[in-house]
Amino acid sequence: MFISPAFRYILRRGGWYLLTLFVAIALNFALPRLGPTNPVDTIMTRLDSPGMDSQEYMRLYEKYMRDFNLDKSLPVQFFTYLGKSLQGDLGVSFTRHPQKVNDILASGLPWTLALQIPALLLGWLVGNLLGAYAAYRRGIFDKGFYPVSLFFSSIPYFCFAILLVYVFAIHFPLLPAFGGYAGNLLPDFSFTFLASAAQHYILPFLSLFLILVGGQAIGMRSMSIYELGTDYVKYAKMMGLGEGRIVQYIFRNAMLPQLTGLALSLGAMVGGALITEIVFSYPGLGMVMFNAIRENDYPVIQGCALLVTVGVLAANFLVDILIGILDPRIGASQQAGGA
Amino acid sequence: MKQGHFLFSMVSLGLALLLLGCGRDGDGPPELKEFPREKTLYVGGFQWGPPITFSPLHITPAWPITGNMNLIYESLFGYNQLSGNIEPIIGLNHALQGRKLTVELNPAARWHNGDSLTADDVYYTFDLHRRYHTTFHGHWNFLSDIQVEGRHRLVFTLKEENYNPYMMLDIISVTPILPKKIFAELERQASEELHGKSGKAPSDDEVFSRLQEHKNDKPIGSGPYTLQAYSNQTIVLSRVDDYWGNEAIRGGKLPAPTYIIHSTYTSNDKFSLALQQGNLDISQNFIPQVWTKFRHQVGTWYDKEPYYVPAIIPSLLMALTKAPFNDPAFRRASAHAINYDQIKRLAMYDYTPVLQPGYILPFGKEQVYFNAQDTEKHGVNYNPEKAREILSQAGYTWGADGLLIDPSGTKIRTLYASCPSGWNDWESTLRIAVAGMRSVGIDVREKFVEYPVWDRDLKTGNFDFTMRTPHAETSPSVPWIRFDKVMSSKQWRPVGEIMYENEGRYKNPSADSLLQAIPKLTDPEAVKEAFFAINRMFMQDLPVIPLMYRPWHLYQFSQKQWTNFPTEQNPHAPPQCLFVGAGIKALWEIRPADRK
Repeated sequence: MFISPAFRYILRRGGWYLLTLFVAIALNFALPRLGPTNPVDTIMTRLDSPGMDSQEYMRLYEKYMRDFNLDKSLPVQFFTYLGKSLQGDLGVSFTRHPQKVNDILASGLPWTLALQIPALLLGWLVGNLLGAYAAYRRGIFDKGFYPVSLFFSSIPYFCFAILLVYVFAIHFPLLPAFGGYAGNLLPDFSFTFLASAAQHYILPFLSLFLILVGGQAIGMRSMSIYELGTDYVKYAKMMGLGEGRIVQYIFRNAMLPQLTGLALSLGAMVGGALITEIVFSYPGLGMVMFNAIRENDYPVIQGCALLVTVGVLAANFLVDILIGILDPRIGASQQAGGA
Repeated sequence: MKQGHFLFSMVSLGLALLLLGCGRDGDGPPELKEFPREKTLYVGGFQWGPPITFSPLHITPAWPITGNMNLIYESLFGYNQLSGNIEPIIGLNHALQGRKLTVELNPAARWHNGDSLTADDVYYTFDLHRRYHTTFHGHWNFLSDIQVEGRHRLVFTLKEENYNPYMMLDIISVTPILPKKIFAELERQASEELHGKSGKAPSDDEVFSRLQEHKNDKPIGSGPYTLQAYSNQTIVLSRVDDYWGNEAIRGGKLPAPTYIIHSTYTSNDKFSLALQQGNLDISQNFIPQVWTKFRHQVGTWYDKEPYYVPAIIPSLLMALTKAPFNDPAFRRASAHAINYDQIKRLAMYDYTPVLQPGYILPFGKEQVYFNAQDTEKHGVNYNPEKAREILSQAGYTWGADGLLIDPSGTKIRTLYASCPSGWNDWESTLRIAVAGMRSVGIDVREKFVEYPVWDRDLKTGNFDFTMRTPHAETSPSVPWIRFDKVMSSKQWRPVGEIMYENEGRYKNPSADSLLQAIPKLTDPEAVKEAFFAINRMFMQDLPVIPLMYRPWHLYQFSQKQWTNFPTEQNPHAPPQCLFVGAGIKALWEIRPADRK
């Protein structure tokens, strides 16, 4: 049976991603359980009422262990989790019982996506454009641009976030320091709420966006300088092509390694962005995960980790396919391999 | 690619996702979405994560259902930490005669739906906690029976073998009274559903588990506020303008704030910033150097040291069943080695008066039980020379490395002093205690662990030294309960098994019998003598080492939006954050800041 090289490429990559996903699911299950305490220990720390005694304490402890199936063996717990996850049911939170993990994630996910996707895509695009432009223009623009980019690319997300809070929320109280919207509002579609959400969006967005711009620009600048020495650029200049057109050519050629780099660093970036949410108490997945880890809430930790894993793997997969499409060499190598 | 289009689509995507998020965030039933600042009191520090449930039967209900806050559900009485008395809320008065505690209810009391609140509701509430293993189930360790005598009168019969009027007063001032009509119906529905599923009568445990799943986000309470709405970030209460107590107990006035909003912040620094910026009106979080916030119109109960009203005693617990802690001389020497003044100044920013030996607060309602002569004779103060002297006399020696060798000639192993990590004031306290003990040759090191780990190790007795506040609140049973929680062996279990109190596993039959006798005493002089005696025993034996005094609530307020908060100069209510116990009466006294 003939399978097209492109399809084979996708299948092969897909297979690897599935295997990675399975390993990730197993790790998501195992890692929280390696800790010295379980979620019931956390729940029991909140108990305090007159007359509570050791016997009653143990009775409640055992009840919660039973209710959450923690009295079952680990393999039984794992396969229950696996079976339910495949059906899209991530279970019920232990410490936020009886809330469903799906609902908890659904309340945090849109905030995270709204923050991360625009920051990631815009950061990548703007960073690369600026990097290519700086490489092309050189001179005073590059001299100023390069150290600034270097600064942004070297500073950890959360440090920069704290710096932004200090400058723009405390020293010059221009923007709110934390939260997703003002404390006197409840989420709805009113202008007041959206304006407040937008105001609360600025600092977290900038803290991710600027760092990404810095990192991408540095990489793109180096790639573009290499491209500038190539014959096609010299030829284009001699032909008298416009600056914009030449930068566009450079951009297209230098973009591929940048795209691969993006795929590789996606996981780290998502992790970093989740920490940003904690700094800003932004009501997204980062906060959900932070609370769950603090409370040892296995199902929520598993759910968050699964979502992040699937997200990062899917994004990587997409980038892989995109590279396959954009880079003729990949297609050629697949064709050669398939011949 | 058209860059303009791309940018536009990215911004649109962000906005669309945000809108999706708004739609999903919080599934309460709000109609009102915006709350005017001048009518809203912002509070913080009682809820640390998104609200889960408002069910009073859940183990961790959201604010203000938990923790003796008389905003939605009310208790019979409210404790006033300044007077040491319980004050009427639903209960009009109470009288103890022998084993019978009679409680008269306020006949004006009614539920938000207009139904009268009667003795039946009170009976039902207590009976609910008897039938199901709720967090209040332990109340029945002290109660044997409740009789309803008419619509507004109940008689609680105290258990003979565990007779304890102190605990009974605690119980009637912390148990929120629930509407029978609503909760009995929930019980019936839960039973029917379970019966329908399994075909057999469900057990109490099954019904209880089902009841706990009810979120109760439209609670019918009896208090001055009700739940308006909530999201992951906030819980909004709105005033019940026809609250029965306005006329019956608060002189015909309305509470000042139309709304009370609890904001959930993730860390103390966020609380501190919000208070300083006037975005929070009441906070009970640890703020270092709180006096530096005074210029931002932040206030505390006292405007000078100790700023807060001291009420509880964080202590250093020791594993008394194992060496070297089973030697009273070692415990005494350890206590002498700790610089309490340094703890007061450096770890607690002077939020505590000078520590006196013993386990009685030398001020407030406990002052009467404080015996200065005993303290002078048996008390332990910071005195490293004395520590060395005690150790020498007990046969301890020091090795060439300066570390302690026990009387049998064995070097004492490295000991660990633990507390939950991230509790900065506790960590600082432990560092000072450890440095002091190391200075006399005790090889001890700090160990900061995650809170659940610390809590489990505490209860199973797996620690050397650990920091803990044995009774972290103040209530009618104080100071008896403070001693009981560190000296009573009635729940004694070996190390490895759970002990809910006296985690150091102190065992002394004389202390046990004294602790059992005190609640039965009625003559004030006899009570005084008995507390002198138990405090003497405490100072001689040192089952735990008291480290500092600390407030029950770190009550601090911002005067940018509201004014006339209760303070030392204006003590119209105790410093109980405007809604805990009897502290709630302050809500009728505060005023918007622009209408001074």
